[in-house]
Amino acid sequence: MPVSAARSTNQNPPVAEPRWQHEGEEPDYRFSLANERTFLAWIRTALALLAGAVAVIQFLPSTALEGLRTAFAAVLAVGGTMLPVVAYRRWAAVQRAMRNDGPLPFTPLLAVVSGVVGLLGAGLVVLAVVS
Amino acid sequence: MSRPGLQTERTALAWTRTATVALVTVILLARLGVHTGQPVLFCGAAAACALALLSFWRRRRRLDAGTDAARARSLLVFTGLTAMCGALAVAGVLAAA
Repeated sequence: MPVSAARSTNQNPPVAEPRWQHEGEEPDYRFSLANERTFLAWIRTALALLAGAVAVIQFLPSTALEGLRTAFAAVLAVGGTMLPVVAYRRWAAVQRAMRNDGPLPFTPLLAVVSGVVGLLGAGLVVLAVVS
Repeated sequence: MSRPGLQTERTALAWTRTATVALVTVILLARLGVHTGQPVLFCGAAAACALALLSFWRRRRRLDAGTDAARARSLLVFTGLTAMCGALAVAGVLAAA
């Protein structure tokens, strides 16, 4: 342990490994891998939001309500920027909880993302019909 | 009786799916860039391209690593690149308006 700590300070990595990676015990690999896949699913959701932002700009007619169209696209793109960060924090929190054999942390993420995407969808339907 | 191969394979496939979605994002951002002539969108497409390459590389690393848990550092780098992609898309969308 002291040897590896000394080596990691000597190597001076660009991004430090968080300390919790040495806490507790290595969880069952099936849970670790499932956690990694969940992280990737959120990443793909973020990329899908970016694709949605581009689609809103390109495929909604710009005859009327142009500012609103930009607002929709901006919300989608900002969501696609924030979601990867939230996904990483979620992955780290779950991994840490599993290492310490604690309960998995609650997340309002699902409710928030469902709410935002639902509202945007409803708004886009209205916008597409009006314009 | 455990079959780690399938778990590893599922996770490697998740990386492949992510790379595919990143490639679709490259095409969409570049397309919007061509339409609007905003250079920031080409930067976003380049970032998405780097993300796709990194995903393919992580897929290979996942197969090599077997059942080892992902390192926080590599996922953090991946997260940073995805967020950068998003930030460039935000700038592009606002510039294209």
